[in-house]
Amino acid sequence: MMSGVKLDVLWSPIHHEKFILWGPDITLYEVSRIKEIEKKTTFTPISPTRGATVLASQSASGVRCVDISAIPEQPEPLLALGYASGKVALTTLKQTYDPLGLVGREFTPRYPRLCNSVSWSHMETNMLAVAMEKHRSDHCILLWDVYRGSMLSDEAKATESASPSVAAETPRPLAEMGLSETAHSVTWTNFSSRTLVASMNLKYIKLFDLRDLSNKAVSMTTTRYCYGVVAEPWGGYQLASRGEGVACVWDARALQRPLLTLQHPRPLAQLHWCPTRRNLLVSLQRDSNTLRIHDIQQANSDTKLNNVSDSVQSVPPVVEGELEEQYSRGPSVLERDVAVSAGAAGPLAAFSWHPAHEGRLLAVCASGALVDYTVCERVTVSWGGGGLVWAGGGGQLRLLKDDFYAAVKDISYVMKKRAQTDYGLKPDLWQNADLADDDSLSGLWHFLALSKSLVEDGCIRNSPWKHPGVRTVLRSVGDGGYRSEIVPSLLPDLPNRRVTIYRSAERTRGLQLCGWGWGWENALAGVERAEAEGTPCRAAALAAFQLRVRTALDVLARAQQPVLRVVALALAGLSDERLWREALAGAAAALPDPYLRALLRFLAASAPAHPHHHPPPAHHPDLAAVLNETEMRLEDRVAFACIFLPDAKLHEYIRQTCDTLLDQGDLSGILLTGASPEGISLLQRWVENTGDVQSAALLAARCATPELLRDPRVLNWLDSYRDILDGWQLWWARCALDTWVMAGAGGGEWGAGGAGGAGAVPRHVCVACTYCGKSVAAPPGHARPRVAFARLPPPAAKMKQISSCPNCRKPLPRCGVCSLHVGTGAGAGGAGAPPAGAAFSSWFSWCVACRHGGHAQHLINWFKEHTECPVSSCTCHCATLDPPDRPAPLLP
Amino acid sequence: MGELTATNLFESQTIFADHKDLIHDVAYDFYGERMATCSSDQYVKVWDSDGNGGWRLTASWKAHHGSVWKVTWAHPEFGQVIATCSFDRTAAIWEEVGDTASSGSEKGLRTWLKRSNLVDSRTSVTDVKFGPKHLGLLLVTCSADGIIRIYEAPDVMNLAQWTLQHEIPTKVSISCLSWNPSLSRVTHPPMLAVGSDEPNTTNAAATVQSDKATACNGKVFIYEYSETSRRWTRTDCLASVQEPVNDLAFAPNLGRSFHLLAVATKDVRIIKLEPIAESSGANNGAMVRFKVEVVAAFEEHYSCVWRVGWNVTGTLLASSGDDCCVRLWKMQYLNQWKCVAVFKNEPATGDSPPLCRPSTTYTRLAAMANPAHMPFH
Repeated sequence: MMSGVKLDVLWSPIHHEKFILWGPDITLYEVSRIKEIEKKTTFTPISPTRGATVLASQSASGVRCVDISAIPEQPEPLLALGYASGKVALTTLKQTYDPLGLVGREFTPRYPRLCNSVSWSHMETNMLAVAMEKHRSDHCILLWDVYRGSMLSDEAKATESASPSVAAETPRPLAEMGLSETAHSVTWTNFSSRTLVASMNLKYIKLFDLRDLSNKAVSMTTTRYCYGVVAEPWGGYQLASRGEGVACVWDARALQRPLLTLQHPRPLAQLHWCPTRRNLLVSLQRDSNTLRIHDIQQANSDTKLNNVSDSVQSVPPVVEGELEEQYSRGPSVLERDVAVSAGAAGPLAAFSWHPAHEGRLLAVCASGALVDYTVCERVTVSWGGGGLVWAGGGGQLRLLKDDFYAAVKDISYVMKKRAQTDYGLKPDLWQNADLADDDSLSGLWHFLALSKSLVEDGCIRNSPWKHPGVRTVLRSVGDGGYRSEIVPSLLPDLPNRRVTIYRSAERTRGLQLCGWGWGWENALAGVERAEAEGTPCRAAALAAFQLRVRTALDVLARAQQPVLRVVALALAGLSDERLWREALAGAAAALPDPYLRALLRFLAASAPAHPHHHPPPAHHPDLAAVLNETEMRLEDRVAFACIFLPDAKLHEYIRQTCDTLLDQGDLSGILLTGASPEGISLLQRWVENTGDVQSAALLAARCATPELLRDPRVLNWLDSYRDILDGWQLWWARCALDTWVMAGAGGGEWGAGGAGGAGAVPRHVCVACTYCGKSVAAPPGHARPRVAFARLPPPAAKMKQISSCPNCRKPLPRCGVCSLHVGTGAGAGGAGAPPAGAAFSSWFSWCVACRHGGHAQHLINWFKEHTECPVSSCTCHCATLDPPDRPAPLLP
Repeated sequence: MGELTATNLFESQTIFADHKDLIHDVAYDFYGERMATCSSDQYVKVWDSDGNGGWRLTASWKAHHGSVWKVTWAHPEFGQVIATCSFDRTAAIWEEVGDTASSGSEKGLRTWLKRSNLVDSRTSVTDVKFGPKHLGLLLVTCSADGIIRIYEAPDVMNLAQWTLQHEIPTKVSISCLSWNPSLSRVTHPPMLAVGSDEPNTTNAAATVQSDKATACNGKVFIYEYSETSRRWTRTDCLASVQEPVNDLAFAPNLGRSFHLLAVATKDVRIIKLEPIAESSGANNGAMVRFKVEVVAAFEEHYSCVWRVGWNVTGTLLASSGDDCCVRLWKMQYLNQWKCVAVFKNEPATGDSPPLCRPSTTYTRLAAMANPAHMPFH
């Protein structure tokens, strides 16, 4: 069993930061965080954060086995060293205060031979068991009480004089077992005190019950895999042993055969139970970098009985017996390998569990390197309405608080916050823009509001969609069948330049959709708005695109940044000089603002106003430079195109831009598509890119036509968003969403107010008469049952509720409590007239299990005191079928 | 631009669950107000939110005779119902009821009753999930012997009666399954993904269904229900996942035209399944149903990923693995995924006594490779 350079590690059972490394020397280490280790102290790193410093060391020559005592009074780990001579000596490696006077005590057998194993009891900490080689006339397992051991040499002599009665006689072991046998190892079990388990004679596992020393009960089993027996911690009855490539798990109460036989590809070097988790056995194979973790699964036997009875009918007896063999033998095991050391450090030589820290073990590699490793358990993670939760170590659940989600700014958090502010549900579309708190979304809401107002004002007619886009209006007059009026214009402030602009009614509407309006008055307002928004470059460009270069210069001159005034200088110098043009071409690209670049390029593209005509198409490549300034807002580019591009080019430009934006899922593309099937495709891309199903669902609910609301994609958004709202319990938002959807799907009344639209919603459920199957709640305005009512005598007609079916006039069922027909007034209000809304008490309700029912108030009162149904012959526990009321949340 | 750097601390709340052994699963109910945990100690516990961020233990019972692997809540419209599955080869349906024996003031007391015990499996039942609610009250289980069983409660008022509707043999050990949560029944038929933890050393090639000619060594299978044939058939096998699978989860569909499936195997994988329109794949039999694309594969968890979970919008994914960390992956614009947070799962040290009441700890975010990728304000 012994190899040349044996390396082993052992944690002290009571000193949680101390361990020994046992090789050629026995060295006591202390573990601390690297940060806390004093500078210039040498230490061995055992993990990225921890290092071990040497406390003491001594030669291990002749030492065959070591164990550390669990005596709680010991200030330093007390070691029992078993020597080749059979002697067992107690020592602390470090000189220290020795409260019990144990250091230096020695225990020697009668006949010297190899000492194979020592083991301290963790229950009675003064008990020390020693396993030795065979001697024909001596026992191989000795049990010592260390408090009664002898003193060594001069120390012993000193005490001898003081207390001769104790030390005069040679110390005798408390118990001796195994005459003329060999014990390979011995250890204490944890299910009862003073029970030893030992591997003996190459083939036995023996269990010694030493509670009554005069009558040592022994139970044993024969197995080839008898070595290195270890006992389960936590007082369990499981033992584990090894031999060759097999590990066996035994039940100490039934040693006849192993519970489990675990095969390994290579011979086993070590086997240990995890002290911090039950049913976890870890094995180390020789020349291996990995530890194998066996998670033993216990299944109690009483299920077996159930399943036997189940299987009797279906399974033939023979097969059943086989299944029984296979499944009910007891535990089974889940295995996995964990790589403890990096490959470079060589195979693992030994490991030791930390006695208290969860899953922590210390491994030593063949190279001598130490690794502090924590066996990670499966951590379960779960999301839910409460956020992320995961099961940490030690049976803890950890939940993440809200501030994390806020910091990550995930769309789910954003959506919830928006939903709580009634985002998307405000009566006016533009009111939602501010709630979005997102530029592209708020731009979209503003555009939709604008588009809607244009439709309502009658500026845009014949739109197939509630919210037309630029593309919608441009092609609404047949496919490119319209001709724009070509208007060559001079720039008023630069009389030597001219441009060609195009006009048509469709272009005007397009400009209106872009927010530019038509004519200088509208445009000036836009310029002033842009300037007020702090974008002087945009304001200047807008003015220039309206041919008001003077205004543009004024705007730039007023700007804060000096750079802009320089640009104004360049503008003012507009000329045909080649020098100016070349300088411009170089400078424009370097300008920081896309609007400034566009502005300069636009002016450069304007043709000189000489009498001889340049063909206009010659200038269009230059206009393309303006249109390709994609950093400009889409509406400005589109409006620019609407003014300066000829028909074919305009259509081409709009189509291309629209396709690009659609492909990217860019929300600004709605400007072009409007709320059309293309717009839905664009929103679909947006949903897929961002996960913002909320905006998509709300936009659809507010802006889609009834046909679009039947699009499966739209239905999917709405269903998904409803489900999310349900989960958040935002009932109001959910209800308002449904109201908008029904109003939209109802058709006709586009943009009906939230409350107004609700009337159109058809009733989803009704209470039907048992006889005729028609709804008993026929609304007063309903046409058909009027005839029947007309024949009722006046007093009945005045009653707020009726007790018979309005269709067939058969009576409604009776209340289980008061025996009156339901539908009548409950009469529980007493003398005081019930306040408004208290009509609930006369509603009727019923149990879906036994189908008995009655007036709601009567039933509530009844079930306050009863659990059974009020109908006398019925034993239904109606009220308990419902999930119980949740306790009201505690108020802070 | 905000500063979300490695120095930011986030509050996390710790609940001492007091399970005697490893916790295998935690599940929120639909509203996120209740939580159920299950463990190797054979117990199931139910925790209720007090509305102020605190959690209270309201029920704890020994549910099985073996490790309880998974726990899952039914949609609240079916009542307060959970299902558990266990190493003891059974799955069980539990319903919370008021105490029927008492009346008056004690009526508020609640207990969980075992309504049904599903004992069809001959081996450990490894996962259990309720179906999407628009399909009715469906329950699917899978077991280590590779049989997927789909149960239905024909009468939602009677949870004692479950009929075994379908039994799908897969011939490989199945470790986990996930329903496709898509609400759109028109475009997406009922769909299940199952993952196998069959080790590759054994002859995994024998996984092919006999009626399918396509050989596939993948570990993730997609099953779809055909309304016309009334059968569940394997419509796809993700060949890109070759290693044993520990967990998988469909992201909430959220109106997307494709499905996102997270797979916990040797790495965290996010797989995009894009249904191909029926018309383009009309030739029957070997029809390819999905365009499969691995959107992301993260190896930060070393050799093994244990669990994956999606948030409500399917834009954040949490994973846990052998590195003792919980990692969060966030969808950036255009389906790019990035790690946004790492939570080191410090094991409790034996020096400090176990925390008996909720306490607050702080969690550190991982340093971001490029903070500019995250739009903070």
